[in-house]
Amino acid sequence: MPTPPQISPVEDQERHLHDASGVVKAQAFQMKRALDKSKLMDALKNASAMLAELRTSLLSPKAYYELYMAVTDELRHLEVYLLEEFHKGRKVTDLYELVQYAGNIVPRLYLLITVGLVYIKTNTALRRDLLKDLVEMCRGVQHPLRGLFLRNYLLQCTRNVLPDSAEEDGDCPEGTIKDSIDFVLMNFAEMNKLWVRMQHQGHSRERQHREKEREELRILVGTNLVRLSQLEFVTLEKYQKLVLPGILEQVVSCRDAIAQEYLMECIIQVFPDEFHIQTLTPFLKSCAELEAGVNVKNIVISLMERLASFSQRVEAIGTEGTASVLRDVKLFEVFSDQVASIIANRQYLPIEDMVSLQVALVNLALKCYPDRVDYIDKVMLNSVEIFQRMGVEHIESHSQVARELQKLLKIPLDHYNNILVILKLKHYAALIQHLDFTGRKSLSIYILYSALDDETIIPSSEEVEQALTLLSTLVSDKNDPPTTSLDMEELAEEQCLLARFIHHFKADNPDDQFLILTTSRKILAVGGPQKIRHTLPPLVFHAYQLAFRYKNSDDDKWDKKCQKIFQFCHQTIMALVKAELAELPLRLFLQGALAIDQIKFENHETVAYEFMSQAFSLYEDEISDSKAQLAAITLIVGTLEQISCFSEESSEPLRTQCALAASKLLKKPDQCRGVATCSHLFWSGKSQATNGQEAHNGKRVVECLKKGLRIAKQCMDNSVQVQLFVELLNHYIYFFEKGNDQVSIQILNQVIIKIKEELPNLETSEETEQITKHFNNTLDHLRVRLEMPETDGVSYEGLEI
Amino acid sequence: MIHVSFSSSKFTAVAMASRKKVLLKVIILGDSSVGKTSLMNQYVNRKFSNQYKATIGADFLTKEVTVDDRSVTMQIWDTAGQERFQSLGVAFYRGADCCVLVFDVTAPNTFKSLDSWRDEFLVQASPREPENFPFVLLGNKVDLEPRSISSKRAQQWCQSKNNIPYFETSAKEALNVEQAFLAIAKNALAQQNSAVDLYNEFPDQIKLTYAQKPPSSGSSCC
Amino acid sequence: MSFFGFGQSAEIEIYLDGQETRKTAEVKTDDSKKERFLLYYDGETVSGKVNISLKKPGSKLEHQGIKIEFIGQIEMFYDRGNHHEFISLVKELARPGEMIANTSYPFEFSCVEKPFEVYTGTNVRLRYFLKVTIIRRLADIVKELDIAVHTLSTYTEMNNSIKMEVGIEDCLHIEFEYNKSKYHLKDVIVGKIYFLLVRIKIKHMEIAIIKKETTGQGPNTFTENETIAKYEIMDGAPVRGESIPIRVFLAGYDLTPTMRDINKKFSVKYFLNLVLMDTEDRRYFKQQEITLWRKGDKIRKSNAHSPSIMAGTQNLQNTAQLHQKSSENKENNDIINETDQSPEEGFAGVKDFLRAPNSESNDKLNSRDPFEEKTSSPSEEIEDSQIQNMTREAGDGQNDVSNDVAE
Repeated sequence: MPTPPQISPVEDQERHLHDASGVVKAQAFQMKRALDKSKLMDALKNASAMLAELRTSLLSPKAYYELYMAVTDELRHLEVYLLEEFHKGRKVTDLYELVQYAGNIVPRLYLLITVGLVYIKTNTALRRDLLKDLVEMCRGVQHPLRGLFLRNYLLQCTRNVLPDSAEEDGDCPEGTIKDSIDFVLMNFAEMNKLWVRMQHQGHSRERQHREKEREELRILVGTNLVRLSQLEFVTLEKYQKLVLPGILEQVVSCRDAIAQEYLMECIIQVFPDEFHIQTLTPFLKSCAELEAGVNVKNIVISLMERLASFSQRVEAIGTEGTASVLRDVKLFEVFSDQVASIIANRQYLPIEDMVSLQVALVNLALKCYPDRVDYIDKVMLNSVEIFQRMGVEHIESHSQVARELQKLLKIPLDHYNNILVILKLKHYAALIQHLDFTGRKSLSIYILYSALDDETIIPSSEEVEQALTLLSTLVSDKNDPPTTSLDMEELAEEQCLLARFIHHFKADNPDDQFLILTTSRKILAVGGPQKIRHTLPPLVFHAYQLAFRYKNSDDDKWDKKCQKIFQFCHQTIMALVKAELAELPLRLFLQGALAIDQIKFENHETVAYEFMSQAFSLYEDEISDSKAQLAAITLIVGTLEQISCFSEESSEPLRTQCALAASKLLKKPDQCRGVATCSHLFWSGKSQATNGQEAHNGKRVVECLKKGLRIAKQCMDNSVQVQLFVELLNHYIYFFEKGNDQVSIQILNQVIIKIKEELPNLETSEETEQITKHFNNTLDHLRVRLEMPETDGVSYEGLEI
Repeated sequence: MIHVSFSSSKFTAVAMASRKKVLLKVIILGDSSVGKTSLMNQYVNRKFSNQYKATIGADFLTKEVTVDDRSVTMQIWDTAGQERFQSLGVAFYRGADCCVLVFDVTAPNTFKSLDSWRDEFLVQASPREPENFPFVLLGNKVDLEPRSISSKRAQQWCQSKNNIPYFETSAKEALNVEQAFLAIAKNALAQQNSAVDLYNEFPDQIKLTYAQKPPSSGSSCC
Repeated sequence: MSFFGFGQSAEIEIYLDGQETRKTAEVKTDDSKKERFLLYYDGETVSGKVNISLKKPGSKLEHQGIKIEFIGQIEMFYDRGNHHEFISLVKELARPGEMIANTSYPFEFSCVEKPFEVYTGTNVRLRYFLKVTIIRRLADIVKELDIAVHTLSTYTEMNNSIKMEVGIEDCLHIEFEYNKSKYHLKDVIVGKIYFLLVRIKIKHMEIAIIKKETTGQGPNTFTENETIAKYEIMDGAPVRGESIPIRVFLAGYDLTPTMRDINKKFSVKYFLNLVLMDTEDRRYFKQQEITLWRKGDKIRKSNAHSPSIMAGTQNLQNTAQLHQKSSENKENNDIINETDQSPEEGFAGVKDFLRAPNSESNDKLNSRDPFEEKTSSPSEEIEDSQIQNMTREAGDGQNDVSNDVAE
């Protein structure tokens, strides 16, 4: 059986509306004409005919609203006329009865309300009873759409006449605020019932459509709350005792998710903050009782946000009364408790919503109580407990929950801009643990960036330990081995951040600093080869710096402490060695040796020697690439050249070892260059034997260079050979100018001749050009020196260019 | 600053005079928290509250005023600035006699929105002669610092919109509120006078009767 | 009455004492027209003068006597010849003789019993009239004058409310309550409907006032039902727990007092018919007799503090709550006896509520609105003064309409 059409297609809607509006216009015109002629009875008939259009079932809420507006605009003319008439002395009682003869209830009640309003205005002694009568009579319209609009009309008409005076003892027929509250609450309850009922009428397949219509109509229901908020004598006390309980009772008992969500939001919006702060507990308690489908989170958050900004506003203006109320109310505690109970009572609340609530709590705490870090910590604890209770771990990083949790974790960071404050939060780290590996890692990176941006110094080992715990995903992956293959570039980038962060570990006191380093190493050492290569070097450099600090301090045990430090460095570097790294530890050892040489604590020679020898071992055992070898030996030579602390028996083997190593390099050019470099050890190298002065062993220097020449001659590639000759020539010139008497003009001439012989044989190429240029520059230098010898410099007499 | 059009015919004036009381519909529009409700409350009830309560939907208050010796009932519609609180649409724009646009002189965004409020009103209310429909602009909260929209800038905007009257008000201090609404009433009345040929829509002997009458004293035509 | 212009003739005028000041009442006459007659009550003396004026001055009028009768009679429209006189009083005004000049005869029926109210229905009419007869040999000269009679009653005793739970099992259970069982003609019916169970899709609910006129006896009994008023009291479908107020003003409708077995000739009874219509236009209804009576006029004044125009809603704080309270005590409460119903009509799953399939279209209901009715009829003539009387008199205007529709 076809049901009567409830919903018409759009064009039908327009046609129906157009037709109905036409009737309304025509009847309204007739009505106004009758009023002009003072023919009230006729005017009422026209009004009734006009109102009969509101009996339609064919219009959608929006179209009906248009029609309603058109009709009620016209009714206003009737009202104005009646008011004038009755001010002139016409009796209104008869009219109140007369309109009740209208056979159809919808037009009847619209007329009754219109006349009733005039009645009230002209006879306030009946106000209370009339209001009651009107709101009761409206029960006759049970059709949701028509009923909602009728009651909206009632609400609109009575706006100006609701009693708004303090309550009095005894009978007050004009009514008091109490009567107004009763009136609006009653109307509200009835409207809400009608609105909720819409949900249950009609086909289930039209549900979406119906819900859309309900969303459109909600405003009519909410207007009741607006009206209550507009009453001046709805004081805080009345709000607490009558208004809010009345509204909440209706909201909770209607058991309709759409209504509950909207009305709670409405309460928040239409009543002032001054009321909200005093009624948090009942409001939030009700939130816990709402239907499963209600987004309680949004409601609570909306309230929190409103009050948070209110609190800031009050702070800004400095209204003392309100401010003290705010202090007394303990906003945070109340919200925290109520949020907890909402979470406990609402089984179906999605976890992400629970977390969102915590986010809101944190925001509230930060805005209202910026110095109460304990509040933030409380929220963190709450959150941890939620996850524990729900048995949630390793929240997948792209889930809603993870997003909310990330937000929760980042807010304090962004707010305080200080990782140290975060470290004060006892439960922050535990909370992070509920993210999955990816989530934790991305948060760690966020934390790092934040800390680096803020240039926060981490001043104690405890804090270092905490910080590194927060960053555990970057420090080690022992708990959650990464499932996907490592992106080395990414890893390097992350570890570099961490390394930069480690540089911010700085205690005021050197002992503390040492503690920081040991603690850090303990934690960082487990990171595995890919990580420690980034994370340990900063520690080593920290340690070297620390050693200098001790040296410059008045600490009487600095000596021992430095020893300990270098022991620490040694271990640390060895850890890198164990991780099959070579060049890095080599450099660190060399750097260490340099430091030791300068600090000169007791026993430093042995330690420096150990460092150097470790470097040598690494060179010998671990570095196989010839280029790397050359680079390494160059470094070693350079370092050794700088160090002055060794005794002769230490330094001699080292130097020899260097020369030997250089000569053993695989490629001839490398050998040549290595040997040439070694030559400097014998000239400017220092040791105890030379009392820290340069050795100036010219003979050994020349031996090295000669060996270089020999090796160069063995090179098959002419071009390389000539290049090496030019380089060697420069070495010779250097030493010649330094006053090494073993270097003679003759040698220089020989080398120059050799080069001159070979150079033209080279094929024209870029390389050749380079070499030629180098050589020419060298000759230019010599020419200058020859022509304008330095006053106390060596003489180039006899040089043949 | 106040332009009241008296271009309407004498016939209209007579027809109007036959109705004892004039009903004017005024709509207040503007972004949320520019002070629409406060302005209305200050004007109608002479009250101001610092408490912020959002308006949802649309609601009116009425105020009896005398404009040019005529007794007028002004129906002032206060509206929600937030669109989400206007779920049923804006059918109440229809039949308006004047539209009051409000912005907050300390909040530049509320000034920027004026164009869209005005356009939206003209589309939805579809007045007969959109170009001549009366608007009045109120720059509210002049009691507050710092000011971000200068009087000159607001006036320039008004000039570009066919010389909309502009008032700087403070609902809190009751500054200029009375004057502004008086101008609003005058503009609305002028609008209604010119639009009253509604009577033409329905052929009817009354009109003949009126037409035959010689124009009365004409006191209402200045 | 002169035939062929012969002889003397006379005009009779009946003048009733105080007729300038006496109240009048509108009474329907034969052809559905209404006339205003002087109004008398039971036991009131009917006195006055009979003025006889001769048409031909100077000439005498012979007669066999002049009498005046006071007659109360019941006419059955289907039986025109047969008038039942329940009262017939005669006074002789003049003995047989001659009349030379215009003569005036005073008369008086003192404290005359007028047991019934005047009534004009579909099949029956009850009227009172004075009849003056100048008895003549050829043709009597007769003059009749109708008077209106209203019977006033008081019902201080036993005016219980009508309260009843009715329904169709598993479909619709309601409790309705009318505040009284006996209403005076300007009374207001106040009540409420409480919905206990709603499983049908109700479209609207109305209350109809139905007049049942029964004439004749035995096999010759005729019953006419007339819907005096239809009054929509609810639009849309309520749910369980809703309570709908009823307030029907009777003054506006064309009603008479309830008449029971008037002189064994006829009865006029009134019923309130509660009708629910579902979305498929099925009607569910329950009829309930109410007794109408006429009350003395003087009492009707509006009490400023609880005018009847607002009757019923002021103490209806929360009907649902009240209902719950009352239903607690209900187990042993014999609603049935209280409401004067035979046991099987009470609630208890009996199909008390009758269901009439598709009996009336909705259109008819729409046209019941008295305001609407008048819109279509030209009523430009109504002047200010009439409007002021509307409250009381409006009903009269509407009576025609209601009747038209019903017929």
